[in-house]
Amino acid sequence: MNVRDALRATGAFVEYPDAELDLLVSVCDLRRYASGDELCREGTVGRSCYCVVAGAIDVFKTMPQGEVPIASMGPGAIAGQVALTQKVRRTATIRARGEAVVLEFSRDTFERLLGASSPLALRFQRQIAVAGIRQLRDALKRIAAVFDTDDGKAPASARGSAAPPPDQAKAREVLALLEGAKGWDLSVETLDAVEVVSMPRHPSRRPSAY
Amino acid sequence: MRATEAHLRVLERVRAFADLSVQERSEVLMFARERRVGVGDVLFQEGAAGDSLFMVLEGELSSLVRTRVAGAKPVEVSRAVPGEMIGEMACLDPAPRSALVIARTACVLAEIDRSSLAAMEQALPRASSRLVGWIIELVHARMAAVNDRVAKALAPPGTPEPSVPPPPPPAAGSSAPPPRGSVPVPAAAAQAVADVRSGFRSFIDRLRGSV
Repeated sequence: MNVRDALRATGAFVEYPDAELDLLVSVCDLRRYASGDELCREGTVGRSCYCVVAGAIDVFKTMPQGEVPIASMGPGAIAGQVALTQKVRRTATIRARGEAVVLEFSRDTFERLLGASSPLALRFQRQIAVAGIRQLRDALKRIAAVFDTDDGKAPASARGSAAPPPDQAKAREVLALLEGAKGWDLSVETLDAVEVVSMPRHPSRRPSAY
Repeated sequence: MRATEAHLRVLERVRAFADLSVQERSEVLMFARERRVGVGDVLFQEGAAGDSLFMVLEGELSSLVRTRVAGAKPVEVSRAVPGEMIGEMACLDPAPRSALVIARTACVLAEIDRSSLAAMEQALPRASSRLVGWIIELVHARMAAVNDRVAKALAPPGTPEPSVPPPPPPAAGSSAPPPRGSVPVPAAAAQAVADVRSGFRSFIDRLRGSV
Protein backbone atom coordinates (compact mmCIF):
# COMPACT_ATOMS: atom_id res chain seq x y z
CA MET A 1 0.00 0.00 0.00
CA ASN A 2 1.41 3.41 -0.85
CA VAL A 3 1.40 6.33 1.57
CA ARG A 4 -1.60 7.96 -0.07
CA ASP A 5 -3.73 4.85 0.28
CA ALA A 6 -2.51 4.34 3.83
CA LEU A 7 -3.52 7.90 4.72
CA ARG A 8 -6.91 7.47 3.09
CA ALA A 9 -7.45 4.20 4.94
CA THR A 10 -7.13 6.03 8.26
CA GLY A 11 -10.45 7.76 7.56
CA ALA A 12 -9.05 11.18 8.47
CA PHE A 13 -8.47 12.33 4.89
CA VAL A 14 -11.56 11.05 3.10
CA GLU A 15 -12.51 14.48 1.80
CA TYR A 16 -9.18 15.01 0.07
CA PRO A 17 -9.15 14.34 -3.68
CA ASP A 18 -6.33 12.06 -4.85
CA ALA A 19 -4.37 14.94 -6.32
CA GLU A 20 -4.38 16.79 -2.99
CA LEU A 21 -3.32 13.73 -1.01
CA ASP A 22 -0.54 13.14 -3.51
CA LEU A 23 0.54 16.74 -3.08
CA LEU A 24 0.44 16.39 0.71
CA VAL A 25 2.66 13.31 0.56
CA SER A 26 5.07 14.97 -1.85
CA VAL A 27 5.55 18.17 0.18
CA CYS A 28 5.93 16.35 3.51
CA ASP A 29 8.88 14.34 4.80
CA LEU A 30 8.05 10.69 5.34
CA ARG A 31 9.80 9.49 8.48
CA ARG A 32 10.09 6.09 10.06
CA TYR A 33 10.71 5.90 13.80
CA ALA A 34 11.78 3.00 15.99
CA SER A 35 10.05 2.42 19.30
CA GLY A 36 10.90 5.18 21.76
CA ASP A 37 12.37 7.54 19.15
CA GLU A 38 11.61 11.17 19.82
CA LEU A 39 9.65 13.15 17.22
CA CYS A 40 9.90 16.40 19.11
CA ARG A 41 10.84 17.57 22.58
CA GLU A 42 9.00 19.80 25.00
CA GLY A 43 10.54 23.27 25.20
CA THR A 44 12.06 23.30 21.71
CA VAL A 45 10.69 25.59 19.02
CA GLY A 46 8.25 23.70 16.81
CA ARG A 47 8.46 24.06 13.05
CA SER A 48 6.21 21.27 11.84
CA CYS A 49 3.27 19.04 12.59
CA TYR A 50 2.97 15.27 12.35
CA CYS A 51 0.40 13.05 10.62
CA VAL A 52 0.52 9.45 11.78
CA VAL A 53 0.45 7.13 8.76
CA ALA A 54 1.06 3.83 10.57
CA GLY A 55 1.84 2.77 14.12
CA ALA A 56 1.27 4.98 17.13
CA ILE A 57 2.81 7.88 19.02
CA ASP A 58 2.69 8.83 22.70
CA VAL A 59 2.53 12.37 24.03
CA PHE A 60 4.27 13.21 27.32
CA LYS A 61 4.20 16.35 29.40
CA THR A 62 6.53 17.41 32.17
CA MET A 63 4.67 17.85 35.42
CA PRO A 64 5.98 18.68 38.87
CA GLN A 65 6.09 14.96 39.63
CA GLY A 66 7.96 14.13 36.41
CA GLU A 67 7.09 13.19 32.86
CA VAL A 68 3.46 12.10 32.48
CA PRO A 69 1.94 10.38 29.42
CA ILE A 70 -1.09 12.43 28.40
CA ALA A 71 -2.21 10.89 25.12
CA SER A 72 -1.67 8.14 22.59
CA MET A 73 -2.49 8.63 18.94
CA GLY A 74 -2.84 6.23 16.06
CA PRO A 75 -3.08 6.34 12.25
CA GLY A 76 -4.78 9.46 10.88
CA ALA A 77 -4.04 11.56 13.97
CA ILE A 78 -2.45 14.97 13.60
CA ALA A 79 -0.15 16.12 16.39
CA GLY A 80 1.78 19.30 17.07
CA GLN A 81 -0.35 21.31 14.68
CA VAL A 82 -0.08 24.53 16.68
CA ALA A 83 3.45 24.87 15.31
CA LEU A 84 1.96 25.05 11.84
CA THR A 85 0.29 28.37 12.50
CA GLN A 86 2.20 29.87 15.41
CA LYS A 87 5.82 30.21 16.43
CA VAL A 88 5.63 28.55 19.81
CA ARG A 89 7.69 26.15 21.87
CA ARG A 90 6.52 22.57 22.08
CA THR A 91 4.68 22.01 25.32
CA ALA A 92 4.86 18.24 25.06
CA THR A 93 7.31 15.56 24.00
CA ILE A 94 6.21 13.04 21.36
CA ARG A 95 7.75 9.57 21.01
CA ALA A 96 7.03 6.61 18.77
CA ARG A 97 5.25 3.70 20.43
CA GLY A 98 6.54 0.73 18.55
CA GLU A 99 7.57 1.40 14.98
CA ALA A 100 5.75 4.40 13.55
CA VAL A 101 5.52 5.97 10.10
CA VAL A 102 4.84 9.68 10.21
CA LEU A 103 4.45 12.47 7.67
CA GLU A 104 6.09 15.68 8.83
CA PHE A 105 4.50 18.85 7.45
CA SER A 106 6.68 21.93 7.95
CA ARG A 107 5.36 25.38 8.69
CA ASP A 108 7.41 26.87 5.85
CA THR A 109 5.77 24.55 3.35
CA PHE A 110 2.32 25.06 4.82
CA GLU A 111 2.71 28.84 4.73
CA ARG A 112 3.98 28.75 1.17
CA LEU A 113 1.00 26.66 0.06
CA LEU A 114 -1.41 28.81 2.01
CA GLY A 115 0.13 31.92 0.50
CA ALA A 116 -0.58 30.47 -2.93
CA SER A 117 -4.15 29.64 -1.81
CA SER A 118 -3.54 25.98 -2.52
CA PRO A 119 -6.76 23.98 -2.02
CA LEU A 120 -4.70 21.44 -0.07
CA ALA A 121 -3.51 24.08 2.41
CA LEU A 122 -7.02 25.51 2.80
CA ARG A 123 -8.44 22.06 3.45
CA PHE A 124 -5.68 21.19 5.89
CA GLN A 125 -6.13 24.52 7.68
CA ARG A 126 -9.84 23.82 8.08
CA GLN A 127 -9.08 20.34 9.35
CA ILE A 128 -6.79 21.82 12.00
CA ALA A 129 -9.53 24.25 13.04
CA VAL A 130 -12.22 21.59 13.31
CA ALA A 131 -9.88 19.21 15.16
CA GLY A 132 -9.07 22.01 17.59
CA ILE A 133 -12.73 22.86 18.15
CA ARG A 134 -13.56 19.22 18.87
CA GLN A 135 -10.62 18.78 21.20
CA LEU A 136 -11.58 21.95 23.06
CA ARG A 137 -15.22 20.87 23.40
CA ASP A 138 -14.10 17.45 24.54
CA ALA A 139 -11.70 18.91 27.10
CA LEU A 140 -14.40 21.21 28.46
CA LYS A 141 -16.83 18.34 28.73
CA ARG A 142 -14.29 16.26 30.65
CA ILE A 143 -13.43 19.14 32.93
CA ALA A 144 -17.09 19.79 33.60
CA ALA A 145 -17.72 16.11 34.31
CA VAL A 146 -14.93 15.96 36.84
CA PHE A 147 -15.46 19.25 38.58
CA ASP A 148 -19.16 19.77 38.43
CA THR A 149 -19.87 18.21 41.78
CA ASP A 150 -21.32 21.20 43.60
CA ASP A 151 -24.15 19.11 44.99
CA GLY A 152 -21.57 17.55 47.25
CA LYS A 153 -21.60 14.22 45.48
CA ALA A 154 -18.57 12.70 43.84
CA PRO A 155 -18.42 12.77 40.05
CA ALA A 156 -20.26 9.90 38.42
CA SER A 157 -17.00 8.21 37.49
CA ALA A 158 -15.88 8.07 41.11
CA ARG A 159 -19.12 6.78 42.58
CA GLY A 160 -19.28 3.18 43.61
CA SER A 161 -15.57 2.88 44.35
CA ALA A 162 -13.75 3.61 47.57
CA ALA A 163 -12.69 7.25 47.63
CA PRO A 164 -8.91 7.64 47.37
CA PRO A 165 -7.16 10.14 49.66
CA PRO A 166 -7.93 13.72 48.54
CA ASP A 167 -4.47 14.58 47.21
CA GLN A 168 -4.38 11.45 45.07
CA ALA A 169 -7.94 12.11 43.98
CA LYS A 170 -6.93 15.56 42.84
CA ALA A 171 -4.01 14.28 40.82
CA ARG A 172 -6.17 11.58 39.27
CA GLU A 173 -8.91 13.96 38.27
CA VAL A 174 -6.49 16.37 36.73
CA LEU A 175 -4.76 13.63 34.80
CA ALA A 176 -8.14 12.63 33.45
CA LEU A 177 -8.58 16.19 32.25
CA LEU A 178 -5.31 16.14 30.42
CA GLU A 179 -6.66 13.29 28.35
CA GLY A 180 -9.05 15.82 26.93
CA ALA A 181 -6.21 17.95 25.69
CA LYS A 182 -4.71 15.16 23.64
CA GLY A 183 -2.76 16.10 20.61
CA TRP A 184 -2.27 19.73 21.54
CA ASP A 185 1.04 21.30 22.11
CA LEU A 186 0.10 24.67 23.39
CA SER A 187 1.98 27.43 24.99
CA VAL A 188 1.04 29.56 27.94
CA GLU A 189 2.33 32.57 26.01
CA THR A 190 -1.02 32.64 24.25
CA LEU A 191 -2.91 33.02 27.53
CA ASP A 192 -3.07 36.78 27.23
CA ALA A 193 -5.12 36.38 24.09
CA VAL A 194 -7.70 34.46 26.07
CA GLU A 195 -8.24 37.35 28.39
CA VAL A 196 -8.87 39.59 25.41
CA VAL A 197 -11.28 37.30 23.63
CA SER A 198 -13.18 35.80 26.48
CA MET A 199 -13.17 38.19 29.37
CA PRO A 200 -14.56 41.66 30.06
CA ARG A 201 -12.01 44.38 29.52
CA HIS A 202 -12.56 46.03 32.85
CA PRO A 203 -9.32 45.40 34.78
CA SER A 204 -11.01 44.85 38.10
CA ARG A 205 -13.02 42.04 36.55
CA ARG A 206 -10.04 40.11 35.33
CA PRO A 207 -10.07 36.73 37.00
CA SER A 208 -7.28 35.94 39.35
CA ALA A 209 -5.69 32.56 39.06
CA TYR A 210 -6.45 30.52 42.08
CA MET B 1 -23.44 43.66 3.32
CA ARG B 2 -21.92 46.85 2.02
CA ALA B 3 -18.80 47.97 3.80
CA THR B 4 -18.74 51.37 5.46
CA GLU B 5 -15.56 53.28 6.28
CA ALA B 6 -16.08 52.73 10.00
CA HIS B 7 -16.65 48.99 9.60
CA LEU B 8 -13.54 48.62 7.46
CA ARG B 9 -11.55 50.40 10.13
CA VAL B 10 -12.81 47.85 12.67
CA LEU B 11 -11.67 44.96 10.46
CA GLU B 12 -8.34 46.69 9.90
CA ARG B 13 -7.61 46.24 13.62
CA VAL B 14 -8.22 42.47 13.44
CA ARG B 15 -4.77 40.90 13.60
CA ALA B 16 -5.69 37.95 11.38
CA PHE B 17 -6.73 40.39 8.63
CA ALA B 18 -3.62 42.55 8.93
CA ASP B 19 -2.14 41.57 5.58
CA LEU B 20 -5.40 41.86 3.64
CA SER B 21 -5.99 44.88 1.48
CA VAL B 22 -8.90 47.28 2.04
CA GLN B 23 -10.44 45.77 -1.08
CA GLU B 24 -10.17 42.25 0.35
CA ARG B 25 -11.64 43.28 3.67
CA SER B 26 -14.62 44.83 1.95
CA GLU B 27 -14.99 41.67 -0.14
CA VAL B 28 -15.17 39.66 3.09
CA LEU B 29 -18.12 41.80 4.11
CA MET B 30 -19.76 41.10 0.75
CA PHE B 31 -20.12 37.49 1.91
CA ALA B 32 -21.62 38.57 5.21
CA ARG B 33 -25.19 39.47 6.03
CA GLU B 34 -25.73 42.61 8.06
CA ARG B 35 -27.40 41.84 11.34
CA ARG B 36 -28.67 44.63 13.60
CA VAL B 37 -29.80 43.97 17.14
CA GLY B 38 -31.12 46.37 19.76
CA VAL B 39 -30.41 46.65 23.47
CA GLY B 40 -31.46 43.45 25.23
CA ASP B 41 -32.11 41.52 22.02
CA VAL B 42 -31.11 37.88 22.06
CA LEU B 43 -28.69 36.99 19.27
CA PHE B 44 -29.02 33.30 20.03
CA GLN B 45 -30.08 31.06 22.90
CA GLU B 46 -27.95 28.51 24.68
CA GLY B 47 -28.64 25.12 23.09
CA ALA B 48 -30.03 26.65 19.88
CA ALA B 49 -29.03 25.30 16.50
CA GLY B 50 -27.07 27.68 14.30
CA ASP B 51 -24.05 27.71 12.04
CA SER B 52 -23.31 31.42 11.74
CA LEU B 53 -20.34 33.31 13.07
CA PHE B 54 -20.65 37.00 13.86
CA MET B 55 -17.97 39.65 13.59
CA VAL B 56 -18.83 42.55 15.88
CA LEU B 57 -18.64 45.85 13.98
CA GLU B 58 -20.52 48.12 16.41
CA GLY B 59 -21.80 47.73 19.94
CA GLU B 60 -21.20 45.26 22.73
CA LEU B 61 -22.67 41.86 23.52
CA SER B 62 -22.67 39.60 26.56
CA SER B 63 -22.37 35.83 26.60
CA LEU B 64 -24.20 34.18 29.44
CA VAL B 65 -24.37 30.59 30.58
CA ARG B 66 -26.46 28.85 33.18
CA THR B 67 -24.42 27.56 36.06
CA ARG B 68 -25.48 24.74 38.28
CA VAL B 69 -23.83 26.55 41.15
CA ALA B 70 -26.20 29.50 40.98
CA GLY B 71 -29.24 27.45 40.06
CA ALA B 72 -30.85 28.32 36.75
CA LYS B 73 -29.76 31.94 36.82
CA PRO B 74 -27.42 32.77 33.92
CA VAL B 75 -24.11 34.48 34.59
CA GLU B 76 -22.11 36.63 32.24
CA VAL B 77 -18.98 34.87 31.06
CA SER B 78 -17.63 37.23 28.43
CA ARG B 79 -18.27 40.34 26.40
CA ALA B 80 -17.62 40.94 22.73
CA VAL B 81 -16.71 44.35 21.35
CA PRO B 82 -15.97 45.59 17.81
CA GLY B 83 -13.18 43.58 16.18
CA GLU B 84 -14.10 40.38 18.03
CA MET B 85 -15.93 37.30 16.86
CA ILE B 86 -18.79 35.24 18.33
CA GLY B 87 -20.17 31.84 17.36
CA GLU B 88 -17.20 30.73 15.26
CA MET B 89 -17.01 27.17 16.62
CA ALA B 90 -20.55 26.28 15.53
CA CYS B 91 -19.82 27.74 12.08
CA LEU B 92 -16.90 25.42 11.36
CA ASP B 93 -18.24 22.43 13.27
CA PRO B 94 -22.01 22.65 13.82
CA ALA B 95 -23.19 21.97 17.37
CA PRO B 96 -25.76 23.57 19.69
CA ARG B 97 -24.79 27.04 20.94
CA SER B 98 -23.05 26.82 24.28
CA ALA B 99 -24.10 30.25 25.54
CA LEU B 100 -26.90 32.76 25.42
CA VAL B 101 -25.76 35.96 23.69
CA ILE B 102 -27.55 39.25 24.40
CA ALA B 103 -26.85 42.72 23.02
CA ARG B 104 -25.84 45.20 25.74
CA THR B 105 -26.10 48.07 23.30
CA ALA B 106 -27.39 48.47 19.75
CA CYS B 107 -25.07 46.35 17.62
CA VAL B 108 -24.13 45.92 13.99
CA LEU B 109 -22.78 42.45 13.23
CA ALA B 110 -21.44 40.81 10.10
CA GLU B 111 -22.99 37.34 9.97
CA ILE B 112 -21.32 34.59 7.93
CA ASP B 113 -23.03 31.21 7.87
CA ARG B 114 -21.52 27.90 6.93
CA SER B 115 -22.62 28.01 3.30
CA SER B 116 -21.37 31.60 2.88
CA LEU B 117 -18.03 30.53 4.31
CA ALA B 118 -17.86 27.68 1.78
CA ALA B 119 -18.69 30.11 -1.03
CA MET B 120 -16.11 32.54 0.28
CA GLU B 121 -13.49 29.81 0.29
CA GLN B 122 -14.03 29.37 -3.45
CA ALA B 123 -14.20 33.04 -4.38
CA LEU B 124 -11.80 34.56 -1.83
CA PRO B 125 -9.40 31.79 -0.79
CA ARG B 126 -6.85 34.21 0.65
CA ALA B 127 -9.31 36.13 2.80
CA SER B 128 -11.14 33.01 3.92
CA SER B 129 -7.86 31.42 4.98
CA ARG B 130 -7.27 34.46 7.20
CA LEU B 131 -10.74 34.06 8.68
CA VAL B 132 -10.12 30.37 9.43
CA GLY B 133 -6.69 31.35 10.78
CA TRP B 134 -8.42 33.78 13.13
CA ILE B 135 -10.66 30.97 14.40
CA ILE B 136 -7.64 28.68 14.90
CA GLU B 137 -5.97 31.44 16.90
CA LEU B 138 -9.00 31.73 19.19
CA VAL B 139 -9.33 27.97 19.65
CA HIS B 140 -5.61 27.52 20.38
CA ALA B 141 -5.67 30.31 22.92
CA ARG B 142 -8.62 28.75 24.71
CA MET B 143 -7.03 25.32 24.66
CA ALA B 144 -3.82 26.84 26.03
CA ALA B 145 -5.84 28.29 28.86
CA VAL B 146 -7.29 24.85 29.60
CA ASN B 147 -3.83 23.25 29.57
CA ASP B 148 -2.42 25.97 31.77
CA ARG B 149 -5.15 25.58 34.34
CA VAL B 150 -4.72 21.84 34.36
CA ALA B 151 -0.95 22.17 34.80
CA LYS B 152 -1.48 24.59 37.69
CA ALA B 153 -3.95 22.23 39.30
CA LEU B 154 -1.39 19.43 39.08
CA ALA B 155 1.30 21.45 40.83
CA PRO B 156 1.92 20.18 44.38
CA PRO B 157 0.46 22.37 47.12
CA GLY B 158 3.89 23.76 48.02
CA THR B 159 4.51 25.22 44.56
CA PRO B 160 4.76 29.02 44.69
CA GLU B 161 1.73 30.63 43.10
CA PRO B 162 1.98 34.41 42.80
CA SER B 163 -1.75 35.05 42.72
CA VAL B 164 -2.57 32.89 45.71
CA PRO B 165 -2.57 34.73 49.03
CA PRO B 166 0.05 33.45 51.49
CA PRO B 167 -1.23 30.89 53.98
CA PRO B 168 -2.30 32.26 57.37
CA PRO B 169 0.42 32.21 60.02
CA PRO B 170 0.35 29.15 62.24
CA ALA B 171 -1.65 29.48 65.43
CA ALA B 172 0.34 30.27 68.54
CA GLY B 173 1.85 27.20 70.05
CA SER B 174 1.59 25.11 66.92
CA SER B 175 4.65 23.47 65.47
CA ALA B 176 6.51 24.95 62.52
CA PRO B 177 4.86 24.37 59.12
CA PRO B 178 6.17 21.33 57.24
CA PRO B 179 8.76 22.03 54.54
CA ARG B 180 7.51 22.69 51.03
CA GLY B 181 6.77 19.62 48.98
CA SER B 182 6.01 17.47 51.99
CA VAL B 183 2.89 15.33 52.05
CA PRO B 184 -0.05 17.63 52.81
CA VAL B 185 -2.36 16.93 55.68
CA PRO B 186 -5.71 15.59 54.46
CA ALA B 187 -7.63 18.75 55.45
CA ALA B 188 -5.29 20.94 53.40
CA ALA B 189 -5.55 18.55 50.47
CA ALA B 190 -9.34 18.53 50.67
CA GLN B 191 -9.28 22.33 50.67
CA ALA B 192 -6.98 22.27 47.64
CA VAL B 193 -9.41 20.04 45.77
CA ALA B 194 -12.29 22.34 46.68
CA ASP B 195 -10.31 25.38 45.49
CA VAL B 196 -9.42 23.68 42.24
CA ARG B 197 -13.04 22.71 41.70
CA SER B 198 -14.42 26.18 42.23
CA GLY B 199 -11.64 27.72 40.15
CA PHE B 200 -12.28 25.33 37.31
CA ARG B 201 -16.00 25.79 37.46
CA SER B 202 -15.82 29.51 36.82
CA PHE B 203 -13.11 28.92 34.26
CA ILE B 204 -15.26 26.41 32.37
CA ASP B 205 -18.15 28.84 32.41
CA ARG B 206 -15.95 31.51 30.86
CA LEU B 207 -14.74 29.16 28.15
CA ARG B 208 -18.23 27.96 27.44
CA GLY B 209 -18.99 31.54 26.58
CA SER B 210 -16.85 31.07 23.50
CA VAL B 211 -19.69 29.53 21.57
